[in-house]
Parts: sequence; structure tokens; C-alpha cells
Amino acid sequence: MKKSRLFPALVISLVIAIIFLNGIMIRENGANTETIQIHAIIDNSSDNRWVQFIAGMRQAAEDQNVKLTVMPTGHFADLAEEKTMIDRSVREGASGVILQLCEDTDVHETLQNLYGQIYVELVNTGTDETLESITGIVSPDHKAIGAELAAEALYFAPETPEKCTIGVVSGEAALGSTKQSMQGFLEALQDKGIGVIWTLEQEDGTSNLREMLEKKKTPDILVAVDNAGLEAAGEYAASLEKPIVVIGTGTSTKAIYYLDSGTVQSIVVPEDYIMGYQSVSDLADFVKKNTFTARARTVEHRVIHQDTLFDEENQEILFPIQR
Amino acid sequence: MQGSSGKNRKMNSFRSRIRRVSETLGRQGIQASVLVSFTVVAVLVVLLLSLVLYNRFTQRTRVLMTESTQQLMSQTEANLEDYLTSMRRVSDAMYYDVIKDKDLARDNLDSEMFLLYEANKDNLVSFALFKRDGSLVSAAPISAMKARTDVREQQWFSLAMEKPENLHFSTPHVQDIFDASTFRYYWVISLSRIVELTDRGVPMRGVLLVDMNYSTIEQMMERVNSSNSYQYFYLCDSDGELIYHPRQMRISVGNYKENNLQVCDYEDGVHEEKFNGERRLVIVNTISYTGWKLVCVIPMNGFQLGNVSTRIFTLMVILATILALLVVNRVVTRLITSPILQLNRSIQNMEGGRVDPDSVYIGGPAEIEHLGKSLQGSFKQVNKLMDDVLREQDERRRSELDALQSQINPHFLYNTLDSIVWMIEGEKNADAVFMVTQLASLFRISLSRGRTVISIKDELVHARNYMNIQKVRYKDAFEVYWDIEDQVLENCTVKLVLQPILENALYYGIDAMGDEGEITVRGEKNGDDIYLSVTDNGLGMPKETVDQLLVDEERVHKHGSGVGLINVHKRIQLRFGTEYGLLIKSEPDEGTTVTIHIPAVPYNEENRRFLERGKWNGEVRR
Repeated sequence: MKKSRLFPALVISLVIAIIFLNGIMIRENGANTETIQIHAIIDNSSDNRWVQFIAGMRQAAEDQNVKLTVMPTGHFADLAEEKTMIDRSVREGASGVILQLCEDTDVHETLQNLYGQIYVELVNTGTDETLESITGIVSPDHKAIGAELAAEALYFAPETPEKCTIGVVSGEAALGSTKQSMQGFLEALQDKGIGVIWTLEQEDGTSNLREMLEKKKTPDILVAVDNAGLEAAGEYAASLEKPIVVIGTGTSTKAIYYLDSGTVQSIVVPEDYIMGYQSVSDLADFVKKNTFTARARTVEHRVIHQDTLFDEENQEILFPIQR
Repeated sequence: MQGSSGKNRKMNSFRSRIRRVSETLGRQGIQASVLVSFTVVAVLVVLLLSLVLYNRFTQRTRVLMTESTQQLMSQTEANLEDYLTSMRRVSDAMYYDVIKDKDLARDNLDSEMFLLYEANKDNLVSFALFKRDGSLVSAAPISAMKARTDVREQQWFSLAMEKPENLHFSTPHVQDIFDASTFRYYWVISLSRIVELTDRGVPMRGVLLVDMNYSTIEQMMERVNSSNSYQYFYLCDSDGELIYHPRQMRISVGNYKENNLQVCDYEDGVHEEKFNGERRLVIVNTISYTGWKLVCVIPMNGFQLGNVSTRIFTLMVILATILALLVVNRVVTRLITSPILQLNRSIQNMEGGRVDPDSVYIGGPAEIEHLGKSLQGSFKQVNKLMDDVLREQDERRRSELDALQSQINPHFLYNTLDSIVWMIEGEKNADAVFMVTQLASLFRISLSRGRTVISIKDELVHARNYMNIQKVRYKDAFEVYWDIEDQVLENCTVKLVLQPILENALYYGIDAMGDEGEITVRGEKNGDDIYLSVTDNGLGMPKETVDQLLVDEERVHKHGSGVGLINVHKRIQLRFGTEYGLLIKSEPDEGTTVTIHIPAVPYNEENRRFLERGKWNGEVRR
């Protein structure tokens, strides 16, 4: 380079570098000051079973410096109703939404048009749908939870399994997670010699589940494949004069109380705190950097009996918010 | 030794690099050198200054932040101690006012216990009094104890039994004593102590449990953690078990790590540590009585350029400073070096040839102005010296011409007079008169009033006079033929150029031919040039001799004037330039032709004077 051009080239390079750095700084400051909004849309958000999940989300929101809003919801009748809540989040300027699907049918049709409007992180779901709008999925392995329930049922079954009867109850049968738990449970019981004498599936929570249970023949083992089913099963078993074995999956304080009181013998508890924390962390990362590819995470679950309920490691998981 | 030589090699390499850079800079010119030097020095100074200030700023920030954090910690510690003291007082009040001196068989503790609970229920979850066997004596609020619960297995009970002299604070845990029929579970910190009970007059030991509401401590800690700074506070017991941590759940699920198990061994004060690859400052305060540690963690990058924005901003400031330095230095160096560069340009002009001293730059700082004036004076002096040299050269040439010219006359005069003497002695008076007449004419032309440039016509007359004299002297032993074009007659020539050639023709060509000698003189104009040739039919010369005729000044002349052809050749060249002069052609036994080649310059007074000054350069012609 000629000498006469060196100085202007140097000055221009420095000016360009300063402008470039200024741009980055403005972007950084913007990223720091413009709070990213994330909405959480979960079925019946005030339900006690979400306590750990919401605690995890809040901690992640604090760590990631994003604004988290848990949308107040009741029980969703169908996916269309849940879609209206997503649309509301879009209108309110949310960058992403943590979504628990209330059913796993027509998922593709419902979510495919959301690309470009809002990012969706699916939680506690049985679907493995992949769409551009879905940034990731964080969920327990519901089939494995079902299999764990089956193992617990076999554990509590009498020595002659052929004479043992099992009733299976679910209060949120439309959820993909419930369907997978049920599937996992039934598959694990195959060829084990224990017969499921009835299954009771209700889609709208526990409104009349206990009454329906009372109409069923009392089984030796009552298995609940979701939280609503477990609460109803606990309530039902507590009312019986002759105790039965109740096992199930759930995280609500009511479900835990039935384990504490001895009405329920075993609970399979997914680590909802981790699910909440990881979902918000991943979504916030995606919104901030927009560089991650969609990912699926599976959170662990643990089996808790009455005697391990207040173990140090379990009480942290089961009672996070009451501290 | 090897180390020393290696160090020397490195030092030499460094020095040679510095030298190369310096040489490269030197080649770039004074402005570039000054600009680069100024900028590099300024940038280094700025960077050094920034580093020093930055370190000072970091240290000061660290001191200020540590002091403010310690103040905050002292305040929080005081709040925690107040709270724990109040809980101890509640326990004391329960023991000394409600339980002591009461007989369990006779007195009911429930109502008084409930009253005390009601008074402190914002900070309490429950009171409970147990006998040594773990059975519940009384509780407030009144609750059913879980059937399966054996309090003797719980830590707070066993601690109280082991160390009856103390009050014991547990770590946070979920209360697991009473039936949670309302589906509510409480996180509590248990304060337990041994109490003296009386049952039917029999003294016995029991354990008083005050379950403090953990949320009170949590709220206190959350308040100090609410700032958005990098630092955070946590609380652990003397064994490092966490009581409160802002990321408690993440730690529980293995998502976050804390150094609490080591920190519990730290003394109160400020400590530096490295944990998980991060350097951080840890401030520890011990809560009295409980032995709990209130810990503040401040990552070291909190004092430094911690976030990306600050780093980018710092980089921007550095680049902007360099840019400003470059621009300012450029202006300054231009101001400084501009006079020097202008002066340099003046010198460069001088290198191209003669320079006008008035064009030399005079200005700028006093030193440069002085330099310019000195240079201007030098130029003037040089010009003067050059003029002097030229003048001297010209004068020397003229002197040389005159000297060459003057070489002929004495020689010729000697020969001619010798001939006349010979005629007079032979009484050939008519011939002698003829000779003297011819000699007079010859001298008239030779003198030409001191002129060195004459017309060809006069030169031919001069040649004829000479040949007439020689013919008399040689008794007509040869013939001379004149073949001259009229158009050459009125042109300029250096005088006395034909005569030496004719003389050479006589001595070298004709002398040995007896009566058959012939000399032909021709004059013709060819283009812008005139050729006057003298041809003899004499012995001629070999080529080697011809080649030496015009170059060998030291050649010994056997005959004749001794001046030779080279004399004529040099005179012509000195006057008209090196492209002119003599051309000699000769063949042994055939003869020789010597041709005078001169430019055709019309003979007039103006041209003659011009040529006399010796400055003919081809411009004066026609």
C-alpha cells in the first residue's frame, strides 16, 4: 500500500471499528434493558401440582433476567382454547411461551403458524412434534414413569399376583403425558400375571372422579397415572374402611399428604423444578441468541415412599415454595 | 552460560528488530517517522496511564464495595441476631413463665402456651412440649401428632438431650410432627432445649420445641439479596450446611455449586478464594450464639470490567484515543515537518540542475528559516562559482585557440623566409619579388586584423599564396588544381586550415614523386555542410598510420611545420564541435585525401563575431 494511502486507511479502519463496537454496545445495552417476556401457559395454572414447576421457572427467569408471566388459566377444554391463550401472549408482546399442551391431537395444525410470531418451548408433553416454531421440549419420560408405576405395583402386589386386581385412574386423560404414562404402565405389566380390571379415564380433572371411583369395584391396587387421578385415588382410599394399596404419579401437596398420611404407598415424582428451570433457560437462550437448534431434554423422576418423604434431598424437591 | 548466551541472542535479535523498524521508518520520510513515533509513544503512555488508573479504580472499587458490603452484613447480622435472640426469649418465656413450676398432672399448659403463640405467631409455626419418651405434652396451635412420628429420632430432640445446657438451632427442614390435614407443610428452623418438668410431683426432663417460621429468615436474606449487583449473600451453619442460599434449589438438584463446606472454616473477615475457576472475594460474619455464618460472595470481575458492555466501551475509548492521537499527531507533524519538506523540495530542485536561489523556501521556525537562508546563500555562491568556472573554461579555450593559431605563423614564416633567402642567393629576383608579394598577401590574410574566423574565399586566397610560394620553392615540381564551387566561397571557416594540409600533402605526398606530383583542392557544399578536400597522388599511408594521425598528439613530425593535421582538426572541433573536423582517406601508393568538414555558416559580421566568441552551437546558420 502506498504511503499516502496508509494514513486514510488507518483512520477509516479505526472509525469503522469504533462504529462497529458502538453497534455491539447498543445492542448489548438494548438486550440488558429490554426485558424479554416469557409467558407460561399450563393447564389450570393455580393447581398446586405446578408449585415446583413454577418455582423452577421463576428461578431461571431471575437468573436469565427475563420477565416471566404465568398466564392465569383454568382447565382447557381443547387445544383451540389453549391456542387463544397463545394468541393473547403474542398480542401482549411475549417473545416466547412455555407451553403444556392440553391434548396431543392437531398439534401440528395449531402450532405451525406460530413461526415468526413467538417461540414455543413445550413442557410435560407426550408429543415429539418438530416444527420451526418449537425451540425445544423439556419433559419427563412419561413412559418410564408408567413403567416405574408398574414396578411399584408389582412390589406391593401379594405373593399370588393372579389374585391381585388393579384399577387404573387418570384425571387428565387427554394429555399426551397421561397417555404415555398409561401406555408405559400397561406395557410394563404385560406378561406379569396381574390383570387390570378396569381403567377410569376422565379428561376434566377431579370434578367427579372420586364419585366415579366409588362406583367401580374396589381393586387391590389402585394406580393413578396423573396428579389429578392420584388426588382422587388418595381421597377415595382414605374413605375406605379396608385399606388398599395406592400408587401414582404426582407432585401436588394434596397427593404428598396422602403419602404422608399412609393412604398412598408410593409416588413417582418427576423433577418438575428442573423441568421449569430448564425450559425457561433454554427458551431465554434461544430468544437472546437465536442460535440454538431445537433440543429435547428429559428430566429425571424419583420414587418416594412414606419413610423417605422427609429425607433431606426429597423435601427440597417436594416442598420448594413453602420455605 | 547457555542461558546467558541465549539471553544475549534474544537481546541482539530484539535490537536488530528495533534497528530494522527504525530504518524502515527512516525510509518512510520525516513526517511518517515523526507521526509513528509520536503516536506509538502517546498510545503507550495512554495505555500505561489507563492501566495504572484502572488498577487504582479497581482497588478503590474493591475497598468501597467491601466496606459497604460489610456495613450491609453488619446490619443483616444484627437483624438476624435480634430475631434469634427474640426467639430465645420466647423460648425462655415459655419455659420460665409457662412450664417451670407447673405440675403436668394438675395444670393445663395449653391456654398459656396458646397465648404466647398468638403473641408471636408471625415468627412462629408452633410450640411443642415433649416428655423424655417423646410423647407430646402440649402444643400450640393444638394439632394432632402423626401416629408414626417418633420425635426422639429427630435431630433437634437428640441434640437437646445430648447437650442439655444449650439451646439448639436446627437447619431448615419441613416440619414432620403434626398431621397436615390442611395439606400445608411448613419449612421451619427448630429451636430446642431441655426443660425440667414436674408430673405428679416427680421432676423429669422434657424437650421444648419452638419451630420458627423459616420464611422470616428467608425474607431477611432476600432483602439483602435484592440488589442487582454481582454479589450475593447466603447463610450456613457452623458445619457448612446451608440455611439460606439464593440458589438453594439449584444447589439441591446439582445445578449449581457453592463453597459452603470450606467457607464454614473461614475466620470472620475478608477472604480471597478461587472456586469453580472463578476468583472471588468472600466476606464472612459469624452470628453470635448459633455459630451460623453469614457469607457474602463477590466475584472479582465485579470490581473489574465485568460485563461485555463495559469491556466494549473501554475498547472503544482506547480506539477513539488512538484515532484522536493519530489525527492530532498528523496535524502537529505536518506543522513541524512542512517547512523541512519544502526546504527538501528546494534541494531536490537543485539536484535537477541550476536553481534559482530565490525559489528556495524561507520560512517556518527560526531554525528552518535560518537553514533556508543559508541554503539560499549557498546556491547563490554555487551559481557564482559555476559562472566563474564557465568563464574560466571559455577563456582557457580561447587562449588555447590563440595558442594553436600562433603556432603556425612562426613556422611558416621560417620556411618562407628560408625560400626567399634561397631565391635571393640564387639571384632569382623576380621569383623573390613574387614570393614576397605572395607572402605579403598571405600574412595579410593570416593576420586578418586578429580574426580567427574568415571567409572560405580568403582562406583559399591564403592557400593559393602558400602554394604559389611552395611551387616556386619546389621549381614547379608538382601541379595544383583548384576545383571550388562558388557557393562555398562566402561561408565561414577557421583561418589557416588549408595551409597545413597542403603542407602535409607536399611533404608526405609529393616530395617523393619527383615531377609527377599533383595536388587537387576541392570545395563543395553538401546540404548544410561544406567539404574542402586536398588530394595528392603521393605515397599514401597504411590504415594504421591514418588512424593515428588525428589522435596521437605526441607523434613526432618528420617534416613540415611540426604542427600537423591534428592541430587543424582540434581547431575545427573547438570552434564548431566534435561532429566536425578532418576526414582522412589514404591508400599506400595511391595517394591521400584530407577533407575539412565544417558547417555551412554564411560569412557575415554577426556570424563571424558569434563564432569568434566560440559559442557556435548550430543555431547560427544561414
